Amino acid sequence: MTTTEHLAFLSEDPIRPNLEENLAHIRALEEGSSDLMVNPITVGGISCVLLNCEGMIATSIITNLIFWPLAAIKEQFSDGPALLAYLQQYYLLSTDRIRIENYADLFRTLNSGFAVLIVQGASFAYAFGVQGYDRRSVSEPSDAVNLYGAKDAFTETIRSNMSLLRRRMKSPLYVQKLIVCGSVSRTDLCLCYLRDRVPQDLIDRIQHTLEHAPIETVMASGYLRPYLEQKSSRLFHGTGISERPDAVCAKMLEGRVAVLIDNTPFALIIPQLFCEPFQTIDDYNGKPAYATLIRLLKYTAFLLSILLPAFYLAIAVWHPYLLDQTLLSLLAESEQSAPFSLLAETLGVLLMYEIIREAGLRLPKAVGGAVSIVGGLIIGDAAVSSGFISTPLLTVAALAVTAGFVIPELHQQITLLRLAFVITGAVLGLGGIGLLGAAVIYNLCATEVFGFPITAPAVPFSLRAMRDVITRIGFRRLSQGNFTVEEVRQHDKS
Amino acid sequence: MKILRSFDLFCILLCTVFLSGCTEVRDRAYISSLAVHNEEDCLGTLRDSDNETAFAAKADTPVLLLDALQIETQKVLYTGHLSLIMLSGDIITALQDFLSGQWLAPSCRVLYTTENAALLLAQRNTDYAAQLQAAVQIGALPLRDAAVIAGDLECGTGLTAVPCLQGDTLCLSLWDSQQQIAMLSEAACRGLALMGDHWKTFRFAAKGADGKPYAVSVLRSSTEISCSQGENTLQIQLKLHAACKPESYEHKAWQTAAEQTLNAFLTAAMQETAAQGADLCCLIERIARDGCAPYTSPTQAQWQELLRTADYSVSVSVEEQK
Amino acid sequence: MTNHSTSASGQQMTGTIAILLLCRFLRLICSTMPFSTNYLLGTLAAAAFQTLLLLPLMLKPVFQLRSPIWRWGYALFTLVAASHLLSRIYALLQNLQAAYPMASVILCIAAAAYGLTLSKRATGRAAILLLGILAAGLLMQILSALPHANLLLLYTPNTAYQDGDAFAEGFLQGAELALLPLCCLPYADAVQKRRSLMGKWLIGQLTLTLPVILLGILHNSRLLHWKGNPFFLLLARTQMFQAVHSDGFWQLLLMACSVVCVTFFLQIIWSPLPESHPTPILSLLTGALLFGVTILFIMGNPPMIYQILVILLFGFVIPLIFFRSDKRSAERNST
Repeated sequence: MTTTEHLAFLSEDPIRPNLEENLAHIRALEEGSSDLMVNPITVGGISCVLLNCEGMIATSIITNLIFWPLAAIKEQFSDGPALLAYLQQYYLLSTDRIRIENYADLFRTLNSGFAVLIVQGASFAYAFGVQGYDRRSVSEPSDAVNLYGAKDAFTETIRSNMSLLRRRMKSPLYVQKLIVCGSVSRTDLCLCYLRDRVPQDLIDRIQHTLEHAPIETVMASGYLRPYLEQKSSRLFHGTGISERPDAVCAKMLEGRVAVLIDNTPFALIIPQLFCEPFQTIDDYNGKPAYATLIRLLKYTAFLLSILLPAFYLAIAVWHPYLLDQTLLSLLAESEQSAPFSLLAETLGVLLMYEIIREAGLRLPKAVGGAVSIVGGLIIGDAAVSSGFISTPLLTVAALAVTAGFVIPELHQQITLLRLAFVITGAVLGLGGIGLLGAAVIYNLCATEVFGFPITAPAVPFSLRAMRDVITRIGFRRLSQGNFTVEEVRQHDKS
Repeated sequence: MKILRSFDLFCILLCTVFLSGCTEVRDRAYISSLAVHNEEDCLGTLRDSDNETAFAAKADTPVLLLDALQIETQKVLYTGHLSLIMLSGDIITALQDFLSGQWLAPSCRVLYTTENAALLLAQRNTDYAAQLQAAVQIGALPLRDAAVIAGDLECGTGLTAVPCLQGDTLCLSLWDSQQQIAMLSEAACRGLALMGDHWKTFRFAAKGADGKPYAVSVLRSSTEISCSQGENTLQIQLKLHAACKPESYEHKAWQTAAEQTLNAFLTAAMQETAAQGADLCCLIERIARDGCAPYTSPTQAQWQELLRTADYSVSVSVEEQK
Repeated sequence: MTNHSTSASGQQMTGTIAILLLCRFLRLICSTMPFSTNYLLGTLAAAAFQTLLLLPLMLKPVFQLRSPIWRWGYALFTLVAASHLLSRIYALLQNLQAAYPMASVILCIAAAAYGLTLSKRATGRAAILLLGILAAGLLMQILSALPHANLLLLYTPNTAYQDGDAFAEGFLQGAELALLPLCCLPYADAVQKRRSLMGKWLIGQLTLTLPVILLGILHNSRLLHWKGNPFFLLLARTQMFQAVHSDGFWQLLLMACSVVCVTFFLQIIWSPLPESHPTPILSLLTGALLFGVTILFIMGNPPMIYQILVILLFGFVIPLIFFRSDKRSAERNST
C-alpha cells in the first residue's frame, strides 16, 4: 500500500468504541514508536486513556489544564459519550479542542503536540492543545535586513507566525485558514488573505493545488513553489518568500495570498511580480526621492550584474571600436601576457567567485573569515600578479558579483544568466546578447501564476501601480486608491 | 517541449564549441594612424595604439597594402580606431578603395601631404589627428572627414577639399576625382571654418590704425546665403553677422577692422572654392531652396559651371559683445 | 471587493500593434537606401495608403480568416515577409561585420521556435517592453542628433537613379505590412476599438520612422557613396559622447526585436487565432521551413537541388499546419 493509499485508508478508519481495541490498533499502527505515551485514567467511572508524544507537550500545562481538572471530576457517567459531552460543555481544559473521528486526524494531532483523550464507549475522541515542544523565539530576520523596519521575523512554529500576522492585521476581513499538505508529513499550512481583496475562486484554486499536491513532505517553502508556479521552465519565480511579517502584511494589503508553512520560517506569497524583489520596507520609511534613487540603483545593479561581464567580453572580442582609445590600450596591454582566452578567463573568475561564496556560506563562522582572506586576497592578488588573469577583467567580475548581492532574492537567476550571457557574448558578440536577452524577456513575459503575469504593472500597464515600481511617490498619495494585483490578472486563456 | 529545449541547447553548444575560435584581444593590432603613398607602387606605414612603433610595407594597391602590413605586424589589423589616414600621390583612388572595402570609419580624418606620406609617418611621431582636431576647434580649418570628402565627390559638383600638410602648416587643397586643382589660402580656410560652425573659439588678427595687429574673438556667428537669378548669371549673396569682442578696447575702429578682415576671409573662401566650381557650404541646396536652378536634374559639370559663372557678394556686420 | 480585471483582448491587440511597429522599425534600419527627401515622401505616402486601406476593413471585416483560402494566402504572405526580413537582417549583420551572421539567423529562428510554444500574450508583452526601450533609445538619439542637423540638406538634389528607387523603398517598406493588422480581427471587440488601434498604428509608425529618416537627411543627405548601413552611419556621425558609442545598444536591440518579430510571423503562419499552440516538433519544422525560404532570399540564385529541397519541405509542413489547425477549429466548432 502506498503512503497516499494508507492515508486514505486511515481517513476512513473510524475511532473504535472499545478502549482496548483502540489502544491495540493504535500500537499496531505506530509499530512500537518509543515516544508514544499512554496514560490510563478513570474519569467519572469511565475508563479513559490520555495519549501524547513525549517531548511534544508541556508537562506543567498538561498537569494543570488536563490532569488536575479531570481528576477533580466527582460525577459518575453512564458511558463515554456522556462523559465527553460533559467535558465539552462544562470544562474548557484547553482553548484548542479538536474532535477526532478517525485515525488519520488522531495521529496528525498527536504528532502535532496535542494530548488526545480516548474514552471507553465513544467512537470519537478529543485532542487538547498543550504543545510544549522546544521552539525558537522570535528574533531578527536573517536575510531581509532593514534599517527602520520591525526586527521580528517568522519562526518555525506556524501558530507563532499566525499570531505575528494577526497582531498586525486586526481587521475582521483578515482570514487565516488552516489546511494540511504532504502525504507523510501532514504539514500544517495557513492561507492568509484579506477576503475583500482576494476573489474566492483564487483562494479555492490555491487551496486545491496545495491540498492535492502529490508531495510526501514539506521541509521548506521551496517544496511547494513548483506546484504553485506550475511551469518549471520559467526562469523567474512567480511566488515570493519572506521572513518578515511586516512585508507579508504589506503584500496582503495589495490582494496577495500568504501561505505560512509549519516548520519553516519563510512564508510564501502568491503572486510575486518581477518588480517586488527591488522593493524593501525601508523604501517607505524614508523620503520618496531617496527611495527612488535606491530603486534606480537596484535596477542598475541588477542589469550590471547580469550584463557587465558579457558586455566587456563582447566589446573586447567583437566590437573594440565601441571602446575609448585609452581604455582599449589599457585592455590590450593587460591582456598581452594573459595565457588564456578572454572567455576562459572570465568563466574562470566567475566560477572562482561562486566557489568562494559557496564555501564561505557553508563553512562554520569561525573558519568563514579565513575563506574570505584566502579567496579574496591571496587567490585574487596572486592570480593578477602572476599574469593568469588581467586586472580589468577581475575588476569587472568583482563589480558584477558585488552588484548581484544588492538583490539577494534574485541571486540564483542572476548567477545563471550572468554565465549564459558571458558565453553568448563571447561567441556571438552583442547580437548574441540581444538574442539571449530576447529569450529571457520572452520567458519573463510568459511567466504567469494563477493568471497573474509577473511583468505587471509594466505589461500589462497599470498607472496606479507604476507609482511604486521604479519611483516611489509620496505616501499620502500612495495610500489613496490602493492598487490590488487583481487589476492585472488575466482572465482569458490563450 | 523537451525536444525543443534539447534542440535549442544543442544549437547553443554547437556554437560554443565550433565558434569559439575568434580573434583575441592580444592578437590584434589596433591602428591609430595609417599613411599611404599611392603612385606606381603603394607604400604604407602604420602606427598602432601606443604610437611608439611604426610598421612599413609595400604593395600594388592600397587594399593589398593592408595585407602586407598585417604580415609586418604579425597581428590581425583592426581599423575600427583608425583616426587619421595620411595620403600622398593619387589620394582619391586610395581613399575610395578604403571606403569601398569599409576599412575606414566615417569620422576618420584625412590628411594630404605634398611629401611622401609613408616616410613622413615613419619618421615623425606627431599626432596629426589631434593637430587637425585642434585646428578645427580654433577655426583654422573646417571639419572634413573621410565621409564628407568622399560624399562631395559623389554628390553636388564633384569637387572636394582635403586638409593638407604643407611643411608644418595645415591648410586645404581642392581636388576633383583625378587630381589636385588648387591649394587654398589661409584666409579661405578660415572663411570656410567660420561658415562651418564647428569651431569652439575663433580669434583673428585685425589691423589697427597704426598697422599693428590685435586679436578679436568671435563669440558667435550666423551665416545667411541667399541666391537670386540675375539678368544673365546667378547672384549669390553671403551675409555674415558676428558678435565679437576685441582683446582691448583702445582701438576705436576695431569693428570696422574686424568687418574688413572677416569680409576678406569669406571673399577668399568664395573665390577660391565656389568660384572654382566647388561647393563646400551647401550652395547647391540653397540654390534649390531659392528656386534658382536652371535645370531640373543638373549634372556635376552643370553645377560646376553654374557656380563658376555666378556673381558673389559678401557683406559682414559685426556687433560688439561685452 | 474591487474587480478591475484587465481586458485581455485589448492588451493582446495593443501587443500586436507593438510587434508590427517593431517590424516596421526593423525594416527601416535594415534598408540600404540612403536617406533622402524622396524616401521621406514614400514613407508618408505609405502611411496615408495604409490608413485609407485599413479603415474600411476595420469598419466591416470582410475577410473570414477561418476560411482555408484566406488562411493559405495569409500564411504564405507571412512566410515570405518573415523570410525577407530575416534575409535583410542577415545582410545587415554582414554589413556590420558582426560575428557569424548565419549562426545568428539560425539562433534567431531557434529562439522564435521557442517563443512559438509560449502563449501569444508573451509575444505582445515582450514587444511592448522592447518598444519602450526602443523609444527611449530613439529619444536619446534624437537629442544627440538635433544640435548639428542642417535643414538645408532637405534640398539636396538626388541623383537621377535614386528618385524612383527611394520613393518606392519608403513606400513598400510600410505598405507590405498593411495586411498584417488584420490579425486583430479575430478579437471580438476589434471593431469597437478600431479607431484606437488605427491611431496607435499610424502615430507609432510615424513617430518611429519619421525622426530617423529626417535626421538621416539632415546629417547625411550628401553621403550617397557610403557602402555601410545608413542608420548606423547616422549613429556614427551623431554620437552624444565620444567615449560612449550607441551602435552596440542598437545592435543588441536589433537582434532582440528580430526574435519577437519572427516569433510573431511564425504564430501567424500557424494561426492568427488567439488560442492555437503548435507542438514543439511542428514549431521546429515551421522554423526549418522559414530558414529554408530565408536561404533562398539570401542566396538569390541558389542551386536547383536546394530549391527542390525547400519545395519538398514546404509541401510537407504547410499541409501539416493546416491539417492541425483545421482539425482544431473543427473541434472548437463541434463543442
